[in-house]
Amino acid sequence: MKRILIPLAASALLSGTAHAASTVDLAVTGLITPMACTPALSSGGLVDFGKISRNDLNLTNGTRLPHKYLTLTVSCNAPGRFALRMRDNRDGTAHVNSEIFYGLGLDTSGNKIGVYSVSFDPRQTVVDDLAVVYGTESTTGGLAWRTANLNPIDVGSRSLLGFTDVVGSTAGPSAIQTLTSTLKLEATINARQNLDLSVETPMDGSATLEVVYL
Amino acid sequence: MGLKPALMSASLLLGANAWGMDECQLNLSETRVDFGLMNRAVAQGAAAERPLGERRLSLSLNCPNPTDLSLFYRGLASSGERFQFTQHGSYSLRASDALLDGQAVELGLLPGSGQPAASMGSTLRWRPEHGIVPMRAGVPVNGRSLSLQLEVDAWAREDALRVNDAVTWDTSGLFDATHTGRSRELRLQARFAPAACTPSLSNGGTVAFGKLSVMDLNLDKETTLPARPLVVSVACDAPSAFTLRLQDNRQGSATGPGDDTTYGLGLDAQQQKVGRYRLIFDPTRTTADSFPQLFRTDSPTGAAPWSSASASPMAIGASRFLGFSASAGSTSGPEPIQQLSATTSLEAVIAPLGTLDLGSEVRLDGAATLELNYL
Repeated sequence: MKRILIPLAASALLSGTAHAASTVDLAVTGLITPMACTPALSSGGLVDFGKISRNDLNLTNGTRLPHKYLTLTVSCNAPGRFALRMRDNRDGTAHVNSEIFYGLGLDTSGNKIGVYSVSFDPRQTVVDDLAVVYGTESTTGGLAWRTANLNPIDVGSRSLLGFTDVVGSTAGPSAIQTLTSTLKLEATINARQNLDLSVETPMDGSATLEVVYL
Repeated sequence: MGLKPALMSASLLLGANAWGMDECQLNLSETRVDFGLMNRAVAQGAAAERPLGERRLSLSLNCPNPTDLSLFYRGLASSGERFQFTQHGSYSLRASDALLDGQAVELGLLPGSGQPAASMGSTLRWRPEHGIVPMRAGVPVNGRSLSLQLEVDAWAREDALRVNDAVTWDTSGLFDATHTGRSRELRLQARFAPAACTPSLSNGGTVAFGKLSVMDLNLDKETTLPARPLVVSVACDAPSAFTLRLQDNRQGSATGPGDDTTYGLGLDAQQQKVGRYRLIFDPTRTTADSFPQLFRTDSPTGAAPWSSASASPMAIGASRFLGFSASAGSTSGPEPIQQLSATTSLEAVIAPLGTLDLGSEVRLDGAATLELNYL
């Protein structure tokens, strides 16, 4: 048996399937709210300790200065949920590293002069026509709130601080139109041995209290 | 009498069997040879050619009567010894362990049907356009059954591995037992994947500005919000040259002059544009592998010419391909990188509030897709 050979071309296929480039999605979110709250501090927000003699400062320990009080008023155009946060404009000058301690600047030799904290006391806070309010905090940007109670709270640069009329609530701040609170400012000067006080040294703390809308 | 019909049907069955054995049978243990999925990550060295592996199969040819069992293989030749595996690769066939009617035989390589064997041996490289025939004492012999082992080796050119998309190579050849009228197709496959890179964004790709009070936004002019950091990371399973583009999924909603580096923040209830944002890549805040410094380069086509690599920040765009080079001033395009981390800056601008419908809350609703393209 003899067959005629038919040359058979092997088929070659180069196929590009629809394999898209690798991708990842970006979302930019936010909300413009008609809610507007205006915070105001008594004395234009200035706390002046006056002149302090170097001789009144402890040599090896920090020196606590007398407490100072400030009144904060937050007035909103309608009841709304908000929290407070305070940003240090002298970031990095606090000799204690914590979000509740704010720096008092540096001396001429670059030493950290001291720290201060600002405390909110629910018992010293008046909200609208409520007889009593409770404080609450969130370290998760408002995702979770701790149980509301009457304990004083030091305001932080990352945590949120708010008030509610429901004791024991973990739902965070309630809607508030007007809040008035007496804030306690506690300052501590660095140990004298850590400072260069050969020249007059200004204490130069600066922070910005922010209303965070929830 | 009662037994006769049963006997008759038995003989019919035997007859059918005998009729089936008139025909020769050609069989392959496998009709499809798959070399698997190749990935650039597996590549080593800089050889011009990369082996894709070897596969074995067996072939058997059976006939009822002694027959000329010579076999031809029809496949496109790529060289004297190899067949084409697409334009970018090749494969070879090696035949060995031939048994004719149960007896080991040698194989002869036939330059053509009816021609004398050009060479012989127990193992033969099956050259394109050639046949093989069982041989005994230097002479082709007929028989009833032939079995042999086949080894298929395949290679890809190194540049064929640098694919941008998944590619499948698919080719076939035909075993043709010319004197028996039997043939069998053999298919060969290999798949190629691009080196896989995974882009990711910090915070799951969400940049949240939270609630913005109308009090903090300008009524009669735009408000630039404080820039937000966004870390763009790219992890590849091998150093890969790639580029990045950002596609706007809110196209047409960006405020300001049309520019392919600005992205929309969506529309308010009255279909007014809420704002825009840009994503700035700063080479000085970008690190990759062990490069001491990175420079950005870009091209409108994703191919040469590339801009001179620079350390100055640049907004990523929808129509320019952004890549990174290790040498300042280089125009040779993106460097192969395995791990990249870029701290980018997202700059958002809100439209003047006077142009927005503030009857209700207005959402910032930007959405974009970062696209990584392989070079």
